[in-house]
Amino acid sequence: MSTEIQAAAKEPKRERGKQRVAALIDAGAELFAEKGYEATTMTEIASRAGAAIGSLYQFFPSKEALAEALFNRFAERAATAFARVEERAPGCSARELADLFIDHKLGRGTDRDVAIALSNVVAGIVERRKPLGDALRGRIAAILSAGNAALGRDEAPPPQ
Amino acid sequence: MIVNQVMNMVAALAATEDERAAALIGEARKLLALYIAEVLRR
Repeated sequence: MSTEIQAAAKEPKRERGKQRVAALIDAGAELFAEKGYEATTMTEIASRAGAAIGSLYQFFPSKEALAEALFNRFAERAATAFARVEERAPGCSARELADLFIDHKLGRGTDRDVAIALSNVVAGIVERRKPLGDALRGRIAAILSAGNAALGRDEAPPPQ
Repeated sequence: MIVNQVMNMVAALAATEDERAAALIGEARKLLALYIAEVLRR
């Protein structure tokens, strides 16, 4: 079952506000991972973050708004992480590229699990998941088509 | 795309507590490398 997003999150302007928002999003991520999105309450999120419930609602008028902020952070981090793959890819062999791709995915761990779980229950996120996947596939294809891998390095016959 | 599908499969495997996951991920690395080598050779 999906949930419509009722209100958008408020953007903090000061550094202290940004840190508080990050702590609230972290708390949401932990609780969504532990209990699931539906079972987690706003009160629990505020408590986990060590914040007043009013502070949570000040930045996130609804649980859906916090979920969307969490998904946004996941998308930003995923894009940044894959940029590091793109930096390292030139000159890599096929085996090194395979390791780069797989290690990238393994490094996303819990972040990715939470994002996928959210994308199944929050309507505004469901629609955004596919374009993100398409973009990643495009970036992988670009790496492969660049032809930077050192062909043959993996395929050299074993020493006699 | 196969590369992305393998990456997703590996992530799903890693999320399990199955003790065979690490071995399967190792096999996935080898198979993905073979596939990438084939793609790059085309």
